[in-house]
Amino acid sequence: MSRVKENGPATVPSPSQPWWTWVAAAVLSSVVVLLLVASSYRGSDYNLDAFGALPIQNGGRIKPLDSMARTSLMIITTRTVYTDERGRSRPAIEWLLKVMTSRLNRDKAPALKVFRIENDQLLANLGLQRRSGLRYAVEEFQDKLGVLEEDAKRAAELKRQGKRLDPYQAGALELANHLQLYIQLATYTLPETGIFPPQKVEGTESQPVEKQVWTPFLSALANSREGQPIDPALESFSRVLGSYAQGKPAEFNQAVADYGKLMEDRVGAGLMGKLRVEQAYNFSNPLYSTLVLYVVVLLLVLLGWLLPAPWLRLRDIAFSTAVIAASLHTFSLLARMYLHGRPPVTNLYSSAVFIGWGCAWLGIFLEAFDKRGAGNAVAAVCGFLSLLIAQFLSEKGDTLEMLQAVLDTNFWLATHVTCVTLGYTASFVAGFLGIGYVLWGLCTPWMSKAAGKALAQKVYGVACFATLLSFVGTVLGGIWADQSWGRFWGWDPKENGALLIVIWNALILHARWGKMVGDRGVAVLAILGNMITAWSWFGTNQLSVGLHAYGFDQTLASALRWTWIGHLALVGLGLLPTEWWWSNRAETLGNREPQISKGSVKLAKH
Amino acid sequence: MENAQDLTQSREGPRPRAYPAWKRALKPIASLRVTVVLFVLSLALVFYGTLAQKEQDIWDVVHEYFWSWWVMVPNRLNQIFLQTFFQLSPDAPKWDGAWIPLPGGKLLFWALLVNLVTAHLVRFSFSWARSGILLIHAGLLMMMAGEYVTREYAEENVMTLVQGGKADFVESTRFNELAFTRLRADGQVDTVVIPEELLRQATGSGVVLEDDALPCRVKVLKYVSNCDLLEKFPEGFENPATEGEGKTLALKEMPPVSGVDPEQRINMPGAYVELIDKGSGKPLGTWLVSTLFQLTRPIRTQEVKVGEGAPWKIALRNKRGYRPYTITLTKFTHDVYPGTNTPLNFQSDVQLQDSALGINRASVIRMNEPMRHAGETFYQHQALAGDSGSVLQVVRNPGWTLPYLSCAVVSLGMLVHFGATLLRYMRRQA
Repeated sequence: MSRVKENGPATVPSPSQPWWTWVAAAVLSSVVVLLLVASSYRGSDYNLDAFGALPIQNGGRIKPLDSMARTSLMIITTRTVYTDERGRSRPAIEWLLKVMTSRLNRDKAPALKVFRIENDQLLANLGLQRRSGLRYAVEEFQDKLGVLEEDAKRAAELKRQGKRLDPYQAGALELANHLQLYIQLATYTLPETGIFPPQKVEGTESQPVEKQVWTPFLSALANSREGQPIDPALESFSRVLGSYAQGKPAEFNQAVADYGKLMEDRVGAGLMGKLRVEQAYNFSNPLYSTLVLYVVVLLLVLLGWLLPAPWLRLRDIAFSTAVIAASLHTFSLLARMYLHGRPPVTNLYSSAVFIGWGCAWLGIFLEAFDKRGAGNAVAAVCGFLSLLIAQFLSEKGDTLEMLQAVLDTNFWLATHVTCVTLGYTASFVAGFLGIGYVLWGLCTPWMSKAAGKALAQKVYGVACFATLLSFVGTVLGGIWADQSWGRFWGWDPKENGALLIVIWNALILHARWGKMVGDRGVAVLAILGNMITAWSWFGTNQLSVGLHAYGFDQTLASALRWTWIGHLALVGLGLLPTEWWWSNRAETLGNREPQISKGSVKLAKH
Repeated sequence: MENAQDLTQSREGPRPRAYPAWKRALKPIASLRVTVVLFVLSLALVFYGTLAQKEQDIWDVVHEYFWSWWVMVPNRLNQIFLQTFFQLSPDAPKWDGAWIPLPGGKLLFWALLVNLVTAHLVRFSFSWARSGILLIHAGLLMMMAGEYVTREYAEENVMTLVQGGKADFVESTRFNELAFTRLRADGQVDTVVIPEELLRQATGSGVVLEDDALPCRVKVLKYVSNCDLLEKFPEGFENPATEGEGKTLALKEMPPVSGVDPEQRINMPGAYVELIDKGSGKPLGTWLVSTLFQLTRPIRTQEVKVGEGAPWKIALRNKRGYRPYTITLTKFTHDVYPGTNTPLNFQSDVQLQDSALGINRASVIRMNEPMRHAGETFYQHQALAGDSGSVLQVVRNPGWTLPYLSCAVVSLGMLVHFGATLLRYMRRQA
């Protein structure tokens, strides 16, 4: 009838999806992933891969040196690569090597620009100029360390008293902590860290090597000085560091191979293999590829909406690409579960990864029934945002960290935590569909009555699903609490947060059943639901009370603030009178007199 | 969807004649509008009840918000929220006197109950399509009943055991008592206690507590619900104590412990009590008592010489409940992740003896694995300093099965209801 109906999400392509769209999606995704993985490869004369696969015990678990290097560098510089003196981007493991050999070879590590300093006042106090990237080397400010130490000490004291720090104090404290980590790595004094596994004693049955305490480098050194027999591992590892410090690649590679053999004898081929899997996971970084693929999906969805009819197949390709991205997401999740030996959600980071995963598959499920692109769009947007949040959370440290004693139960982690997180997931999907409803109806001419109804129905359906999951998850949490300390409901902030989600979803359903709200109302309520879910997920932790408290974090607090402000704005848009909605005007004009439909397009252009 | 239409049909009804007067009268109360308004109020209550934990003890919050008829939410909570998330300056105008009135948990509970029951009376008739809704609501009622039983009848206590030691009593962490104890010649202990509530009421009022069982009369000069003991007297301090530990220690009032405290600290009350001889009415002196004395090793005890016989010991202690069974801690284990201080496991190996029931068995209590006996459940709670012993949480909750049951019922109801909705949707799409 009019151009209005020819494109936009209102038009449904024929339900059968041709095979070539899958091939196209597969080729596209492969190219994207291969490019990403290939671009992270950094060659070197030194066999850094073999060095990175070597084991270390840190924070209660055995990990490859590569993971240690990445986690530490991530904390200090918020990336897993650094820029060397010649401006090349180099891997974290090389940085760790330089830091570990900095006492043998003084000029290398302190010159590396890795310390990220954002606060202007802090930069000024350290005598530094603001530069792009905001990364500085120790040697640039080492004469000002006294000032930093004093301010950081004061800030730490304020923090201990529970006082709020201003940005300068927070920055000074953070930098001091990063410097401390750097020094601990350089001097082999990192706490909770052992590098040499215990030697096997012939003829004795001992505990598995993962359960024993490994010897820190300095203890091994001290033992050897006290005349005890020298651990061959100490000699071997010293050769590794020594040859690197002297700049002899061939000797380094040989020393690493020898040390690797020694380690394999002590910890077994199985564990060494697992460490290599972790290293490969780190290197290929499948969650990053997934994140990029979600962006690709979103672009395809938007193009499919905007381009005229011949391009309708783009939506099929978007769907297939979304399936591939979500499959890669699933693979990453399974790999992490294998490495951790735990159900998927154990900390905030993994909850973000899991929520993104759930949103993606739920979006794909919706799309499978109604190929207008809404499901794809939600899968892409939610998948992307949650992986972005995960990326931010991974700056805090090891994402496969050990669990506190009370969490040491795979049964409850697998049931309560998974279920409640899926409840968050469904609430977010409903919320983002609601956002889609408002933006699509208000800002485009394409939302026909029928299409709007179908979308609102999805919001309602997902809200039902969210009610079920969040209710069951919350009650399972109560049962866990009853099992572990005999109190079904303790009114803990996190419990209350989950309860809010349950009540809110129930409210949406009852408001709809009672005809208090129509399609638009359900969409707006679902958007408000996002705010409540965000409160439950991150807000309650910020209060620093209760069993689930992880402490206040300024960045998260401001992220929440903007999330809430943004959602309130969307709610405000959703409440604008329907006469102002573009789709409404387009439809009214279109219906009244089809021949002036061009007029509606013109109208739209103003 | 279909249900919504069904509901409105039966509510506004095509058959007005079949609609009896009592149903018409109940209709406004049974309205879904009321449900939604009650939900909004519940959301507000839970939200403020969460924020309130920032500065109040969890038990006070439960009492004031969730187990009350009415609550006056102080504007301070809004300030806290805005300071935490919206960088509101702490120097901004406070309006501390302002408050928001909200219905408390009890009122909302009854209102929702009335709304739910009348809705079923007025609107619903039984049909298979509605069986899911019925199950959900029945399960929710069961859950609320469970919470009520827990609140009214559940008892939470702790049992503290040192390595190798045994105990036949549990202690409350919330309630305290002033205890007079005396060791008899036959090895039994005479015990007379004054509940904390009486001490609080008698504080400073000049009222003298007396009872035939008490060895003397008691006058409470000062009682504080949380305190610290100072070894150095603050300037201008006039010591009311004339006997015992109080001669060298000063009582300092402390603010009550806030929220669900991450360190799980509890209030430590303290008091100055003047003891008066029953016969002569002569003062025997003023003692300082506090539950803090329980934490010293060995426990500090104070003696009062009254009349003939062995001296009485006086102590402010956690309220005790004696049990017909004995639990012995044979071994306490505290494992950490290798090379760290992160706890991996707390475990108490205990021996349970109950001669009345003829029980003498070994049992293991660890995180997430409690032991049940005689209507009580024993949970691994804390470790004593230096792993010298174990603290068990002992809970008696006659309603502990209700949440399990109601969870199953509600989940089943939701699966039935939403499953049917989803099937209808998918059939329509196909």
